[in-house]
Amino acid sequence: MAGALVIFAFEISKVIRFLSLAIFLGVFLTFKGYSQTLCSEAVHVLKVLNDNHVSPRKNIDEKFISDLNEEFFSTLDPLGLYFTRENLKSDSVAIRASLFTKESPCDWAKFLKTFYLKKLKEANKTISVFLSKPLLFNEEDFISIRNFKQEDFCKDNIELKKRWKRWLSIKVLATMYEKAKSTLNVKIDSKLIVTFEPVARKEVMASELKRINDVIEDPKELDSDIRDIYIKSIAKIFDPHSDYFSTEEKQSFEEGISTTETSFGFDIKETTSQEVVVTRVMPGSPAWNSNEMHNGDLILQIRKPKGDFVDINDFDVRPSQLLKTWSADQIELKLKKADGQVVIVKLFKEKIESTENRVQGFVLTGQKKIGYVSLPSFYQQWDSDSKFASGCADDLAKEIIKLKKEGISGLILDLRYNGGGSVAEAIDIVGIFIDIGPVAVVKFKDRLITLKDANRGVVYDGPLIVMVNGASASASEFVAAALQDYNRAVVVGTTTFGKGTGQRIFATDTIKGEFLKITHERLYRITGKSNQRKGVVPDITVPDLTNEFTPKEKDYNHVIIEDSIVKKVYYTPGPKIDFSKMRLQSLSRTQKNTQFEKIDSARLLFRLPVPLKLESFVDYQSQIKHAQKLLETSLISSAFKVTHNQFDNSLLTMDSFRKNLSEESLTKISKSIFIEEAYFIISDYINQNRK
Amino acid sequence: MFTSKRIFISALLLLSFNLIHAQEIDNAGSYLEYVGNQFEEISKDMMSYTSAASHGKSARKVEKRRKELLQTVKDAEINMRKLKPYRGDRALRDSVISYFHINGLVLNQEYAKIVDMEEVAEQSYDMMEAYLLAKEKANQKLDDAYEKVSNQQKIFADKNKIRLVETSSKLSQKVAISNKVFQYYNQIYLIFFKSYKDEIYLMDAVKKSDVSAIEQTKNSLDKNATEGMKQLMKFNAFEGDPSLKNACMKALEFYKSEALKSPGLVDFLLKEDKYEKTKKAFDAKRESDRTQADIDSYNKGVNEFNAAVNNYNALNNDLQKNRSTIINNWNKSADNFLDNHIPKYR
Repeated sequence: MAGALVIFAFEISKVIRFLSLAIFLGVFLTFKGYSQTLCSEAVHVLKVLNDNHVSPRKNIDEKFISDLNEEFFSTLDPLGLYFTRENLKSDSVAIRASLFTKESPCDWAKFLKTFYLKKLKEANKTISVFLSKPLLFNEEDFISIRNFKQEDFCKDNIELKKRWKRWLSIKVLATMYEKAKSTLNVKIDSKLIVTFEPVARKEVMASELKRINDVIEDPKELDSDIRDIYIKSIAKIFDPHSDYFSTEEKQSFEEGISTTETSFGFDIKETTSQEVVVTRVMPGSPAWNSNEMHNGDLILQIRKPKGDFVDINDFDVRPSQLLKTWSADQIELKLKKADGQVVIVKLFKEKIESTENRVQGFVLTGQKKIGYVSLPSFYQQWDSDSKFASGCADDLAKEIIKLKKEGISGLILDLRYNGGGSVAEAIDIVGIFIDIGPVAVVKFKDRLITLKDANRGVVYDGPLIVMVNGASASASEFVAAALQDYNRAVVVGTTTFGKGTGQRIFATDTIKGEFLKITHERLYRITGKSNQRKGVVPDITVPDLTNEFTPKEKDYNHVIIEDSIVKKVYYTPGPKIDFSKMRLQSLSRTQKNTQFEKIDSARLLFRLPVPLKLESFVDYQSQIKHAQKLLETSLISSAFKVTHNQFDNSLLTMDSFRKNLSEESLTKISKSIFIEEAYFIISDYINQNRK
Repeated sequence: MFTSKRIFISALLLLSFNLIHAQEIDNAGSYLEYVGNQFEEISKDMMSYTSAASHGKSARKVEKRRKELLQTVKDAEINMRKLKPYRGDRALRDSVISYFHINGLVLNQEYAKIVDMEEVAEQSYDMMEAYLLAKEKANQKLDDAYEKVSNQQKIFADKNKIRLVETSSKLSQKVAISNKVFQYYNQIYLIFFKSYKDEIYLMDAVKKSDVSAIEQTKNSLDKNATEGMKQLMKFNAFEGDPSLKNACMKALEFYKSEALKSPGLVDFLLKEDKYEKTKKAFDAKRESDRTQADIDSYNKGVNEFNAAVNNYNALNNDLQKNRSTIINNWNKSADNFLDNHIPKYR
């Protein structure tokens, strides 16, 4: 499954978690009774998709069936631990075109289920046999886990056994390592680790067998899992953003963003590879205010008020149910960010206050006075109670006006980790910086529409830097691209995610309470080119680690291929910006900066496969730990001093909560080497403009 | 909302056929004269319509004249279609038919039949802008069509050895004067209109308390009013009459001052926002927990907010009063200008 193997974290606990996830898939998917109606439901879903998708797939030809088989089986078995290529050739197991015709009997799922149960039993046996004897970890072997693409299925059972051996070995090794770490010994060497082999092996065996047996013993649930994966796969072969939501997923989405009850203010989703991903952070919620939680973060572990961190998959309830059944007012989460950093965030349930604290403007004062605003998502007005409730564009404009009062000579707009949101807000945000004009073109199935900023005038016309990285997606890319095309901003950072499509939700009228998310439109820059798959290439590259840990659009299966359009749009770009000198200046700084050097060496380390020989594994772990420590030790920038905008000073004095948030942000900004580099670049830019 | 006078009559509609008399009276000359007569009829009605619109006639009367003019243009087109090509030469005849046809469409504002409205939509950001752009493009087509007629007329004359002589009738003099007046008027009107429209958007943004839109439109208003003033400085008085230019300058001065005062509106909204938040934080504290600094800070916030309210009200009243005077002055000046300079006819 695409994106299934985004697993590497700085901490070995992540490896354990991953392996526990990898062993069985489908357990956590939703319950819905399987019936003979599966085929007619599939036909209906396909029709809704074809009626509304920007690139319909009306021909159920060989390619369609092979894509569907690939999608289905890689979702059901993302690590290729159950099925072999040989198995998938079997007529009774593989999905075939006749399932989409009315005449044909809809019996495939029954055969598949029987076969799948047989494979699970075989896996059960493999685990029992392999883990019944002590593991020596004395062979030179490796396992590659930094890979965003689906593992190929093994050729035959011999290869499959080898794969099992590697996965079980790394799982036991990782458990041994964790146990050694918990002894709090200063030196964690192979001698200490090896003492935990018997207990770790026993634990791994018990938990792995339990996972598989749970499925074998609940075949009814397996029916519904097969059904849901099948329907989802049909959506996914249109493109990776088209999706099917079961009743339970829809409910979870709605409850996660409740405005009437107290909540932590975030929504999660289990991916097909069993990772638990943050899919939504409500503006103004405790999660939002923490400034540590973003869409796309992986939840590794959770801690209750009194207790230890526990792997999210080790709770009695499924992760999707966990937040609903969470009775305590407090939760502590261990998150993996898109750049691989692991952070701990503590949240207290609150009634979500949407209208405050969403965007805050800061002043960086050094040789130049520069404004800094970070926008974590493109949220829209959703609370109609307050007169002041509004979307992010208006909030951003207010902060910029406050910063202008302080006489800033440049502005940094930080869109890193911003996964997108409302296109209307994105248009308005571009409008803050340009006079009226087209900002993008949308292509529907049969027509092109120009999206325009219709607000005359600008809020800010000074030098502007937009910061992006591999986790800046969709609306962020829209804004960065438009400002680039108008020569209005210097885009700084790493190449963005590459999502140049828009989705809409469609009800499936024959499947009650469920709905489909369908890619309904494609977005183009005003030049007619697309960001799809390629992303927005920054004008000045400042390296980071997001690309090592976050899959991008191009890493997914069935991705829509970028194209271009010809449409006459009328716009007047500003004078071309000469980047050549600024690029050289930035490169010379980052090459001399030891923090950036550490990023480069960490990148190489993360790309290495994980050794399975005990000594090499221990050595590898200590290197990772060292790299992590180095990356975390950032110094406060000496180039500038960060202050909150003066306008809100009296408010901060009154509101200690707001003050705390502001102070946390101040520290983060002053310690970020990326923001520091953006500060240097905008200073160069201002100097260049003066000449 | 104050509306400005929206007369924007196309100068191009007043173009006339140059030739009325031919030196050598022969069949070709009669042919040209017949064509010329069609133009003459249109010019009469056009002048009549222009005169009515410029001298304070009732809307009903103006509309009646427009319809008469439209009918005359249609009749002229029919007459030309009935006319046979001169000795097989269709060029002149067809160019005149095309010109009359476009003229009829322009008079009836059927722009979609002449210009690419999708292109107009791409370039426009509101209905008024789209209307003006469509009109401009339509007039360009009309202009091109007239150019063709003019060329064909010359070719026809050369071919048939006719010498063309410009004549000056009373009507043609009036048409020429009206053209000049409208050319001047339209240029100044467009300068005025740019800022006038910005101000409408600004008032709309203020009504919605949309800080981003207020900030953007007031910057646009400032820019356009300043640019407008610069352009206006290049204009002389019209035949010694500076009234229209002066009225436009006064309006632009007001718009510029409004743009410069608008930060007061933004400031009020930001302070109101801050006050609401401060009050909420203050109310959330138990009385026993409130420090003297909290109380002082809260009181300071209240005073600041009250001062902002007073400024806002004073600013709004001031703008309202001046706006009304300025627009009335512009409308009156525009009416008087046309009344004074467009020749009376019928």
